[in-house]
Amino acid sequence: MNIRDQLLPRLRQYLPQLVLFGAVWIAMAIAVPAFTGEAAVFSTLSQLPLVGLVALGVAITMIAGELDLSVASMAALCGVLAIRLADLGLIAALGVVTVIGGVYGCLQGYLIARLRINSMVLTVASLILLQGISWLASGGGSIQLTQFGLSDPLLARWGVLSPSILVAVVVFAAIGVYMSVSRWGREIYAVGGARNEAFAAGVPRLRPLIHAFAISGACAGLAGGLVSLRAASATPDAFSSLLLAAVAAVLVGGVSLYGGRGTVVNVVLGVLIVSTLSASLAISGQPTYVAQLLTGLLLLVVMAFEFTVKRLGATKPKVSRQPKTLVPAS
Amino acid sequence: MTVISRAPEVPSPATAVFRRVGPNLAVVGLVTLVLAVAAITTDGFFTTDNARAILLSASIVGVVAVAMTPITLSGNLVSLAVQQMTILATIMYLAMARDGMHWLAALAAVVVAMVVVGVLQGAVVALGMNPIVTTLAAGAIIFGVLASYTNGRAVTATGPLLAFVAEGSLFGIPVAVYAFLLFTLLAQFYVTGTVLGRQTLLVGSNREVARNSGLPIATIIISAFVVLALGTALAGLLTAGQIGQATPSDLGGLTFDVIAAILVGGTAIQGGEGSPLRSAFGAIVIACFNNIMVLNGLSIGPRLTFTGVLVAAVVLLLHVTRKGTR
Repeated sequence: MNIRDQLLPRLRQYLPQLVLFGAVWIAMAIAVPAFTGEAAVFSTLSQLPLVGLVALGVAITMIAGELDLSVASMAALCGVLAIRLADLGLIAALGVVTVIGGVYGCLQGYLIARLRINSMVLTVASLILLQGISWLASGGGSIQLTQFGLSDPLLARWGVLSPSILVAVVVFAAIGVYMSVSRWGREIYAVGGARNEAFAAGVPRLRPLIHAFAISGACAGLAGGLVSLRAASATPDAFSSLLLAAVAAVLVGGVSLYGGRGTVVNVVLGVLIVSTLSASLAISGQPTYVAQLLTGLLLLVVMAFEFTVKRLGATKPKVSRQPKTLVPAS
Repeated sequence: MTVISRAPEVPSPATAVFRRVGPNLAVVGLVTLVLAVAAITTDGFFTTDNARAILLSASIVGVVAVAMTPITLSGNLVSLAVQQMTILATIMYLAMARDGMHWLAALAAVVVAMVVVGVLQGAVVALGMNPIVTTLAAGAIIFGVLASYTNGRAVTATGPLLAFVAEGSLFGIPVAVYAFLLFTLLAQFYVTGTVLGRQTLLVGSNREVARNSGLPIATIIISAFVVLALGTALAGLLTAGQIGQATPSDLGGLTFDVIAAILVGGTAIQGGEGSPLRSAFGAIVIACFNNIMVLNGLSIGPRLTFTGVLVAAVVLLLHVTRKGTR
């Protein structure tokens, strides 16, 4: 099989998201004249370390047929912890918070897989718990970095790239390879697509979910650490609209809410679409609630569109829990 | 969010009784423990003033938690838009009171508007779209509209109804507490005493069977969202009375406080099991818990942490006991 035969179906698979991305980019470039060139690309990519990484983690749990709602709290907690641990040095602080996120994720994944508890229930409890711990860790308010020099490496910029963006790109690539090539990644798809069949076929019961939630926790931890170390400050109640942005990015990108379908490329496209919207609105000086409003609308429209297409039976039949229609699936 | 439908099973009478009682015992045990610790360690917990304070602080979260329970019972998980809906009702009422509208007309307008918002969300969910995503998006949209309306300024107003809600009391108990109790009884009657309410439980416990039996699923789901809309209208009015001014980002933790109350009350998140009464109970338990921590001088950090631990403990305990009796 030559490379063209492989690439073309791939391109077709991502066509709706690519078209949507192009449309949003062109629309925002026309509506916001200042949204052009390097500045536009850089401000869009700047969302990758926060919204992108968190969306990536949410997407992996969604592919596993679960949903991690605790990511924003985890990011806030690790943001506070990164500032507290700044004495260790930049790399070490980021490493430690990533590990903390990952270990907590492991624990969540283990409980969900072992007890077969609904993941949203457990992660909502986590959300409250982690919020409390970040208040505790911050000592009850916003905290600042004492050695400002520490965040200097993160403030570097090379054209449209920055260290944080590069870190995010590397993580995206690594998780992409993990999900598509490794056996463990395939197991996550298997338990998300058809859980009982996967177990019957010999997929281990614990490993896929532990991996999925560990990835989600670690990504959220890294994201929180990167953002707070770059800003040299952290607040325990930060990132209140992060969950919306992340879930919107994942779903707009085309990852299935019902598990088993979607790739890292879907997440990248979704993040780019949502980031284009928020970055261009920020450049035009609109308050952040406008971006929230439009993200919410976009999410509803995309979901309604996909839903309608599915109901009309225009797409390939797939496993779904939607109500049966009178139109037979083609 | 894999929803695995359980195979039908016929439990023996003894198992059935234990399955009903067991999880309740677990929660009641935990609550007794909390109250016992409170009684021993906290001065001034068992006073009428403090009981009133607990009920008052539980009232807004309680009303919304009770109102959201039918959605959870119907198998549609939770609404992530309740903070935005409540503050929408608050700001609408305050804005109309500020502009001199008669309180009765303003109240009617708020109720009608909230019901419209609720029916819209319910209709989308009834079509089969995911409730979490729908309400997350709806919340963002409501917040955006509210923020562009208020333009960053707080909406302030006074009026006869607001004064009554804020200061009125009967036998020394504030109006908000009566509103909470009355609303809980009405919602409980809706779930246990009306056909739609009973059908809500059926849809939640097995949607396929409910559909095959010809239950009006769309009507049931939309009605559940209307109950939530009425609850947020009431909670919005109580908020308007208690704080007198509002911005769109007020009541920040409401959504997750409400979910916590429902979970602690023991309503099963996957639907079909639970009641508004239990959610009211959950809200009061969390309020007691918070009250004890405030009386012991804990700041927000430890309070949130312990609340998170309580919710996680109850959730795990209920899950394990329910599974153990299966």
